[in-house]
Amino acid sequence: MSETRGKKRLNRGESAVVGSVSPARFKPIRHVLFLMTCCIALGSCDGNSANPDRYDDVRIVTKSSHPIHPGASSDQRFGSNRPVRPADERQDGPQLAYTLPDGWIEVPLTTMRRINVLVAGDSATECYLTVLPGGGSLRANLDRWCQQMQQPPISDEALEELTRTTLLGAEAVRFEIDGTFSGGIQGKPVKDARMIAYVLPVGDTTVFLKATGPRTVLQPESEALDQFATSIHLKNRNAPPASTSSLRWEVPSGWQVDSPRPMREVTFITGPEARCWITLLGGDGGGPLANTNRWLSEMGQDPISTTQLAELPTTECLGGEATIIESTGSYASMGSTAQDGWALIGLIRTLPDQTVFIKMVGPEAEVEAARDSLTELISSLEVTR
Amino acid sequence: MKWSEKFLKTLGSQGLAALMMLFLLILTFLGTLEQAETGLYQVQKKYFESLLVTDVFGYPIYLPGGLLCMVIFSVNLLVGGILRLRVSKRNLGIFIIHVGIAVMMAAGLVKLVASNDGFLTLYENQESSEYVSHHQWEVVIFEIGKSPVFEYRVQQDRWKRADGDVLLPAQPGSEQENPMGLPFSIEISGALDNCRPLPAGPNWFPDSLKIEGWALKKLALDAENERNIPGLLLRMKPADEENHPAEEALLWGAQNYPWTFEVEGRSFAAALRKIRYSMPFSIRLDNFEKVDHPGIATAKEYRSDVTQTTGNSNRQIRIEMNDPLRDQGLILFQSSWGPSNARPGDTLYSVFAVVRNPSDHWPLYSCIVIAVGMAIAFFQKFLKYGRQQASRRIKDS
Repeated sequence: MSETRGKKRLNRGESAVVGSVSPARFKPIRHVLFLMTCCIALGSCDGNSANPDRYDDVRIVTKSSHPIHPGASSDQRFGSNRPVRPADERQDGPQLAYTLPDGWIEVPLTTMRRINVLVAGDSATECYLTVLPGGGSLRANLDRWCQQMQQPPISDEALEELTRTTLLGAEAVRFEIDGTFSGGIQGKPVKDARMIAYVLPVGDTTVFLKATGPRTVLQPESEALDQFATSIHLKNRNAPPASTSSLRWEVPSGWQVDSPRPMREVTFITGPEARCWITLLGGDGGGPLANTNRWLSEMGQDPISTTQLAELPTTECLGGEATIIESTGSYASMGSTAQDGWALIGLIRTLPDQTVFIKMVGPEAEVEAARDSLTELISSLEVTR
Repeated sequence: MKWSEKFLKTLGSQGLAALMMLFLLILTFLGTLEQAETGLYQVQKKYFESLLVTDVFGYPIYLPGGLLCMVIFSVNLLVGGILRLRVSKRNLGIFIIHVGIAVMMAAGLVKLVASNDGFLTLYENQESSEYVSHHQWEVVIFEIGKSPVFEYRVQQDRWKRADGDVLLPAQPGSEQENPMGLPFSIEISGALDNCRPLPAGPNWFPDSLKIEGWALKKLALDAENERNIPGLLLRMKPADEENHPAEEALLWGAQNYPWTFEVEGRSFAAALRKIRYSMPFSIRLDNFEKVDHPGIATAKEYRSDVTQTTGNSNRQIRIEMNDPLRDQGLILFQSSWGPSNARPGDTLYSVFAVVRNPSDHWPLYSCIVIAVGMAIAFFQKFLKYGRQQASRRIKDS
């Protein structure tokens, strides 16, 4: 080897690092190195292809991630009424539960539809529930539906005689009409069609349950549709939400959990008008005195001093003492209309790195009636992390 | 000199290396110019991941592609820098440097051939064991209402130039894998890289096939490849074609629902979607935190607390900027969050960039090898210089 090395020298004009050695003089070590490099490269490729996560022609998954709409037409598949993602369903307002009649099929929800099913599994039908702010008068909606069915508006007498049925546990108006349906998502007129609609005003919103499709399909399903409407109810209203809150609580009996609100861990409906909510803020959340005086100003009361704050009563909460603020007067928060004769009970509990605020406001009688439940809520509070 | 020697000498010559570097320089220059018009992804495919470039700015100019240049360059390095180099104490450092560069080249090749990447979007309390490709599409056929779901897939590379070809034959199925199989074959044609489905008429009369009054309108490729949404015509031919006629449907990458059809009393769905890759574990987002700069809604930092489930074992991990999750060949980076127009109090989702790269650490190893080689080479040069200076002083004295 040393002889070979001594004889062969690099010439100018050849590679600076390459000798003009014939293949016969190759050293085994270089072959080994070359092979090792190739093996590393090829081995990595092969290792990946042997991995179960590689791309192949058949992939086995436990569940399909696609929203399925059996028999969806091109209008439905390419139109603007897109299905909502499952993740949107859990946060967007109250959740609904219902009993689906035999043979009916659930299809993906859309941004407007809180329930979306095919009557008797027939893709020519639609049945969906929507909740609209305002929602228009009953007369305006009936006139619009009559127009969709290419029928003249119904008379005032017929409107008065419309049947009532149960929807979401309350009495809703039931409207049924036959005709040529032209207002469907598929955009094509359906002759000999039937529409069955339920209308339920709730506060400043209106709930609509509307089924459309060929009369021959909807007619035998009419009773099932009524039962379906009756079965619709709010889901797990009193269950503690599976939120990421670092607090845990038991919902007092008689209270209901309201829909999520920004900044609040939870909001309870404690009476027709009274509400109670828990807020958790980092640090001192602005300080007990500033928050106390803010609450008092909402009740139209004068602010208090630090000395007066120290004299306020306390109660045991989360393993320490929480300051209790009580006031009555005219309640107005963030520019809302003043409510005379209202009461406020507030608690402030300062923890090492955060502060818990519990606030209940409402008409005096309702707040007083909910006082024991509030005590129950306070004693059930726990910090989970 | 034998022809084989001449061939090897040329293959390992410095001239060839210089030529390849020149081509790479030209490709980089042209790619940088064209990237402004056609977008990064298209340019990367055209100039750097191709064997041959056949047009430059629309002119029929032929150049070796980046892939071909790098392959020749690698072979040149292996032959000239490793195989034909006569290792001695004098050039040991040079030899090690070449080995390091070879490892770097191999890392690039493995990444090109065997890696994939995508993204995973999770809301809090959501869990997933798959991630979605950024750019690659696939046609997927599966039976509705079955668990587990067998997804028969056809990659974009196969259907891109298909013209009524049978890309998924009827499959009888096997007892081990899928006892049901597919009772039909799938043909694909008319694939468009970027299109929109539109109802035909009265303002638009398509040349392509109309189905239920809809057709695919071809659009120019967007420079941002994520905005390009493909479409195609899918034809389903039942194995028992005498009793069940073939059916056709348009598939579009952003359709609301898959196309559904029935064969032999079984319901199937067909979708065009970005490739889904399975992970050997699942990720559940437990908590997502976004900390804004004071007074503005711009994120200062954001992080995700996740639970990684592998089989029956769980572990809690925090993924944040510059602190990814690395496991079983996958790397999950905290990449972004959304929705971008979220208001205070809105529910946010967390987005992870997922990369599978078997050669993830190879560049590091190659840098270490190169550094060792350079240290040896410089030290040898230093010693040589010292010896030369010493002998010069002896001569002078």
